[in-house]
Amino acid sequence: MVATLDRALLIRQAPMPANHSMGDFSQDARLVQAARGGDRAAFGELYERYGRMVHGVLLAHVPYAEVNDLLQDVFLIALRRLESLREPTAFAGWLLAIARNRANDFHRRPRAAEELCDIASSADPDEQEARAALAAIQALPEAYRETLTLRLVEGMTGPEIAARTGLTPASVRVNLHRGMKQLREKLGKSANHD
Amino acid sequence: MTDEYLWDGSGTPDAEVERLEKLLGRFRATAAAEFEFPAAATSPFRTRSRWADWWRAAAAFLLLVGGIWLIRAVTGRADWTIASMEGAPRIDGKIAERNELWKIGQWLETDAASRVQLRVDGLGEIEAGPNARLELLQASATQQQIRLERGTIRAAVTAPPYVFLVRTPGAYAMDMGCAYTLQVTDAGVSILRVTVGWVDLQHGFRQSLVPAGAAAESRPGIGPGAPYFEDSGERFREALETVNFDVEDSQARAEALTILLAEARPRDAFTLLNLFRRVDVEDRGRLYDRLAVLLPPPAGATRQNAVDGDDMSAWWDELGLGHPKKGLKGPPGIEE
Repeated sequence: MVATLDRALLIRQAPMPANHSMGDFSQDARLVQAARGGDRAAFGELYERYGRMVHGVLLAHVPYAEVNDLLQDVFLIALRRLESLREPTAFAGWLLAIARNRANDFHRRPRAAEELCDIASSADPDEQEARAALAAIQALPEAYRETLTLRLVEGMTGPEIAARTGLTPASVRVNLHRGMKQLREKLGKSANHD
Repeated sequence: MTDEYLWDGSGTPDAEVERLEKLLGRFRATAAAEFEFPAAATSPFRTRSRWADWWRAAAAFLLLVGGIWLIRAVTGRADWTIASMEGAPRIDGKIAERNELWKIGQWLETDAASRVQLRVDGLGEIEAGPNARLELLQASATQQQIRLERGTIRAAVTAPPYVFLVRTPGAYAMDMGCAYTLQVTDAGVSILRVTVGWVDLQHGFRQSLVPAGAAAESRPGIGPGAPYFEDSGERFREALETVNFDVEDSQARAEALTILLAEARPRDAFTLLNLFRRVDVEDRGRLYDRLAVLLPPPAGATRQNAVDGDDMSAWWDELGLGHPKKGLKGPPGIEE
């Protein structure tokens, strides 16, 4: 896994999230500065603040079994590249860009078929239903899947999603509404098909 | 039907959303998931910014030591050899012999009546005391790593910083050019006592840089606690143990912090500085107040900055502990 991190990753500096509070910005900036100075606990606080968001974003794009490894990758890349972050207040957007980039990398590499989908091997009907629902979310248009994963899987509220991702509250609300509508349709069709 | 429940969880719950939340919650990021810092020979973190000056000032010295070490590493052997022994230490169950090589993957054990001294060219000397059990994990020119499962080792290391690592159940002990003893109890608690130089203890997000004269405990699942000088008071150390490791009981930790602050001497400012990232945020203010009494705040330092979790590295200059490598004048001997 670590070897893949040595590849040059072109991560553009993401714009500053529009809905972050100034308090969040300054706290992120403080933690980034402290982490750059060698403070592991400060990096730990950044992980605590953004681990759930990155987990959700990754889960919107890759199989569940791969998420924890990729989560580790994302923060390892962030740790190694923290010096290259020109504007510490832009940490959240920058981290999201790394997460999406790693998810894209995952799909670019040739993989065995079983790695690409979460096949329900459990006999537990709830487990099977959960995996089917997750697969339905992952099949939604790009704009909706991350928002719905953060809301339904990670348990974040709309305002939290807006604050963490930098989307405007209005965009998050629209994404949730339309995404949920499409998800209901997909699950309904699936249920009818069964 | 409105989307208020979907938006922020308020209003009448939408049955379908509620069902999906419950169903999909199993995929949620778990609180137990923790970022694993790479166990590389060198940390991806750069050193504390204030320490960068010291590093630069010592660069010539380190280059010299590193150069000598590299020459020895290339031209000499990096094998672990039993230099001397008492009693009947065993390697993988067989009684070891003097000058025998200890190889990667092999377990070295001593009983109550035995001890063994190991030598590695270019690294230094390691002595394992009675009732010790250790495994050789890595033996390359750039990294030597052992696992100490139980017992006590004494190390006198002449290699450059971060070449020699000891893995214990509670933390990695990374040598920064020093002499130290490291004990692992049957419960997996490790106790580090540094006699010369510095040792860097790391586990997860916790890190403790331990200078000569100081000690630090590490516990499985928690990592290293804040280090302390061994001449600190008994009540101070008891309180520190609670603050460091009683992670489940915030009230007990807050009460212990009160005792710790009252008992702290000016020399214990070192421990207080290490506690800023370990105490609850609401306790940082009183920690700062006591620290500011024991140690003059550096220019620009404010209480609010400390409470906000700002970088405290400017305070380290005020401690006068010097550079991690400063105390090492030459190859130290193992103390008897």
